[in-house]
Amino acid sequence: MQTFDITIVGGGHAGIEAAHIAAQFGVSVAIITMPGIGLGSAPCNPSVGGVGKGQVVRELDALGGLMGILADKAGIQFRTLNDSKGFAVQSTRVQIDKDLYSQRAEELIANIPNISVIREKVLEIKPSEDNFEITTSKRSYRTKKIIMTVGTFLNGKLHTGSSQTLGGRVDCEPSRGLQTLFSDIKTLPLRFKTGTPPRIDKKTIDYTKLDEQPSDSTVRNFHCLHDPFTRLSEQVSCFLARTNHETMGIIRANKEKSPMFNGQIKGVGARYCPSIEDKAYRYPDKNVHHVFIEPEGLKLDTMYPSGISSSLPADVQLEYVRSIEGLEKAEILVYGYAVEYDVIDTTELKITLEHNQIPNLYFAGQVNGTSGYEEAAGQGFIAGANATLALLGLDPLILSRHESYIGVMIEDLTSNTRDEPYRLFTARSENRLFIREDNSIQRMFPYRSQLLLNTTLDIYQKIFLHDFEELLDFCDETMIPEYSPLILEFSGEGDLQKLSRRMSVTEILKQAWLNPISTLERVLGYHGVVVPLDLIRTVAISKKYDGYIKNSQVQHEKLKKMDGMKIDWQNISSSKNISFECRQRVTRIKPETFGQLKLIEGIRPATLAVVAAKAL
Amino acid sequence: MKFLYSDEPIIACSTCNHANAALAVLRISGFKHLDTLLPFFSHSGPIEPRRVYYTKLRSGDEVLDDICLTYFEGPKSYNGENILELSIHGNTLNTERILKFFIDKANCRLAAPGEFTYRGLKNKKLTLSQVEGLDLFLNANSGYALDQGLSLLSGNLQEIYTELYDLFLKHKSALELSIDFGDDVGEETAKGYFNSSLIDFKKKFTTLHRRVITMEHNLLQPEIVLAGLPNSGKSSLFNHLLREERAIVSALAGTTRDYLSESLVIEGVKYKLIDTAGIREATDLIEAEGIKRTKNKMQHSFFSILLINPLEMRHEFSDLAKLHFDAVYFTHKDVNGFAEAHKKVIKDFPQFGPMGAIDLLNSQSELEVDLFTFINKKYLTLTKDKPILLDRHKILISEVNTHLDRYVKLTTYETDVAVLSHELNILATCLSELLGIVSPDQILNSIFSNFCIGK
Repeated sequence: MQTFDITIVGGGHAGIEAAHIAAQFGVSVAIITMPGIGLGSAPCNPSVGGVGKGQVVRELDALGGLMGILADKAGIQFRTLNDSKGFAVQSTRVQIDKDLYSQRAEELIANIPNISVIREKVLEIKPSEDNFEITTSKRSYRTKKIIMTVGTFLNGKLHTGSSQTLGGRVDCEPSRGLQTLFSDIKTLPLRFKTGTPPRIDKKTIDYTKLDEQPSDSTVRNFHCLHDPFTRLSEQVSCFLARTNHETMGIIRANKEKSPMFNGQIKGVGARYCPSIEDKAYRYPDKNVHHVFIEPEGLKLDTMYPSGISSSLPADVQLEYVRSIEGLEKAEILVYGYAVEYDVIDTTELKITLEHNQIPNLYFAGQVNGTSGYEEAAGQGFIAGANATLALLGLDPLILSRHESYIGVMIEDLTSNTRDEPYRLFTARSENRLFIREDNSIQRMFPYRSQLLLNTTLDIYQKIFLHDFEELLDFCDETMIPEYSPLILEFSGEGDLQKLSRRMSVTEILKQAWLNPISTLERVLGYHGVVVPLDLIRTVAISKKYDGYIKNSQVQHEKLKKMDGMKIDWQNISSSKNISFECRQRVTRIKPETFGQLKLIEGIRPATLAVVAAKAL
Repeated sequence: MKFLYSDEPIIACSTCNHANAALAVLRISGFKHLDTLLPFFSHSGPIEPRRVYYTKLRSGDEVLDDICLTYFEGPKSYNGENILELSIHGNTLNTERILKFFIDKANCRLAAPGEFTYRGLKNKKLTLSQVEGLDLFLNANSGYALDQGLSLLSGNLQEIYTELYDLFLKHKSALELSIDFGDDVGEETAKGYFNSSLIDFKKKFTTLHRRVITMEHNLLQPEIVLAGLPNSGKSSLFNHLLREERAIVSALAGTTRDYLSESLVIEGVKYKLIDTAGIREATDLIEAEGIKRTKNKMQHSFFSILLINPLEMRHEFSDLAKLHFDAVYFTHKDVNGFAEAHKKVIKDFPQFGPMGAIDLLNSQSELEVDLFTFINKKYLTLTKDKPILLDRHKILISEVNTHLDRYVKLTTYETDVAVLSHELNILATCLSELLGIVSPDQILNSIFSNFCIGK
């Protein structure tokens, strides 16, 4: 029987990240994935990144993940979201060519000798002494650790109108229910639901009636070792269409045919990702909704109309699509559908994403109740790294929520059960000015170096951070005299904005009316210093926010130290000084750190106080 | 739950500071070195632990109080930290002034209830069983509505807090909406919602803040101010109420140049009764100053009484009538022609307070009864919300006010939404001590239920 150190079930965004990072350590890795689906496929929207998510992709990239590399290679339209709202909340979003993305993922994984890709359907997983036996449709394998990244395939059921098929996504076989794979695993009592819109034949759209959104050439590529602005694919545009009175009227008239509203679907959908039916019934007065028309690939015939996901019958879908200006002659190539699936109770997971009841079993991605490729990839990386680190007897990789969105997500997931699919929003972070895209290397370097992998990436990061420190010093130490032409140039209009004295570069960068990046570029140019733009960007923004961040840093350091404090949940649940209710909750969630304990719903302040004071 | 993480110096009054007493004891705990506090005392030379020193507390050159101080050096102290114990004069105003002084000048923070003891628990000086009612005081410190703490507050105030919480949640949601869902709702909608929600919150909070400020002044030492044109009988009423010849009463108008004040006790509450200078267009410098102060006094008084001699009306009177008064009395009833003059004046005078015509020379006990009942009623109405006088709330409300002002100003020119959100978070932290924590999930819920979000 073939034996692996680590086996990943599922070859989606979580699965490939897990496999890739695990393989870096030299252990033997297997990905078992459904036959017929490419690795890293994108069954829903054809884009990577977005507000909060862009930060995750860059965090992953700095940690040594795959998503940034793949998104760059398959990126066909780049945009910065929140461009006008301040550097800390700006995020990159890349439209990807789905086929290209998956092809590149296949190539990348195929080039790693210690990863075996097994395209078989898993029938049974049996824990035996210190390993697992996996039986597929063809044979059996043995593995020391398993990472489950099965997406929506657990008891998946698809709905289009009244037609229902079993499966995790269109044209795929279903996988066995989680309960039959592991009888001990607790799933949430409720099922989650997600939906996807109909795909439109791109030749049948009248683009002259839509607003064009071209690719932005000034957006930096994701991967830090890629040249920042050289695109690796041809660039195309997205388009903006709008629903109207007629569109929404058609949907409202067919309410009884919607599986979501006639009781056929019982799963809980995400409120931030409503179907067009949701929008029609919940906001009866609103008829104009944006529909972003996004290309699914350079060679693919389909366009993805973001904003009109639906599980209405096929004929109704065609009718409402054709009521939209520009789509009057549209043909639908794949109809929209909703999928219901099981998710596990993530409070049963440790911060390493290992299951509490079944050691050596890890979970990552949509099966954990999250939505989004980026969220899945982030978890996949953490699960893959931790499974391997545990195997090698090394310290686990635990990202602080004060330093990363991945940390925010994992702490949120493991501390509370969710009643709807979980997506990252920047609002979930308490430290938004610091968790930015531009400083992902500074933030992730300590975690990356903990892995001791010493690759090109590590060398690049070390040099980058060294130069970063030097440029910071340059800004502090370089004084610009008041008679310098630079000062005149930087003075704004009005008395308050006059720079009339000798100032350090740092001081100048903090002036509210100046764009710190172009200002620093100008200063460096004047001094004849040549520095890569990435460095200029992160130094300029760091200086700009310096005051704000320093002010809260002391507080954050305390929080971080306190929240990171390891606690013994068994001690808490057996302490007579803790209320019965709190003990029950602690026993259920099994928090490992104080920060996690704090996040558990219904934990009383007194319990926190007693634990913080170590007075159990 | 600030104090779970905090190790900064804290201060509190360990005796009751809501009533006047001979002495009050303040404790400062958790300062790193005694040296940082020594400049505030006149004592020179070393201070040994556990010895009492008589010294002066000073702010620069100004002496704030004569006090006794005792230093307990950690870890050999009640809670294991360095503690400075000050016995000061126990007047409530004095106590409050000195608390504020240490908060402003010595970087102390007002302790949360039970925080001294909690530090003892943390430092292993006390065991759980010694920390009685830990649950109670900790619960009062967090969570929505501050659990027990807020329920102590009387109805009306709790309502204001609840409304403020909702308005704050709305504003915070508006800001998050523009960051996380700007694409979905559109710039204009997000901005409009941001601005209107800030105006709503600011308006509500200002009401609360104003109430704290005025009540602080009004209720700790309520003032009853007598005002009127010269020779309207203010001094006579003053003396009458006090039953002693304190002010110089003469038949010549303009004798009382500045104001006089005396204590007056009604139903167990001590008031300051103030007789003001006669209001008129003075040419005399001293008198002009006196008049200015009179107007100022009246505006900030707890209870103001206007006296009118209908026989001696002047053009300045219309100016005077614009001010707010709690009571108006017509004097010189004993003089000939009063009845006609009174009739003429009362026509164009707004109707407020117990308006009566009185003859001050003939003692009338009903006047006293009426007036005292009226004053007492006003006092009781205002003190119904007495817990707002708790130092913790007062200081927090002022603190929030400072942050809010800064934040509102920032919104007028800062275009970086991330910076705005950072400042708003600071405000939220401060506000959470008062209203409870506004969590990300609550914000997201509020966004999802109010806006059509998502693609």
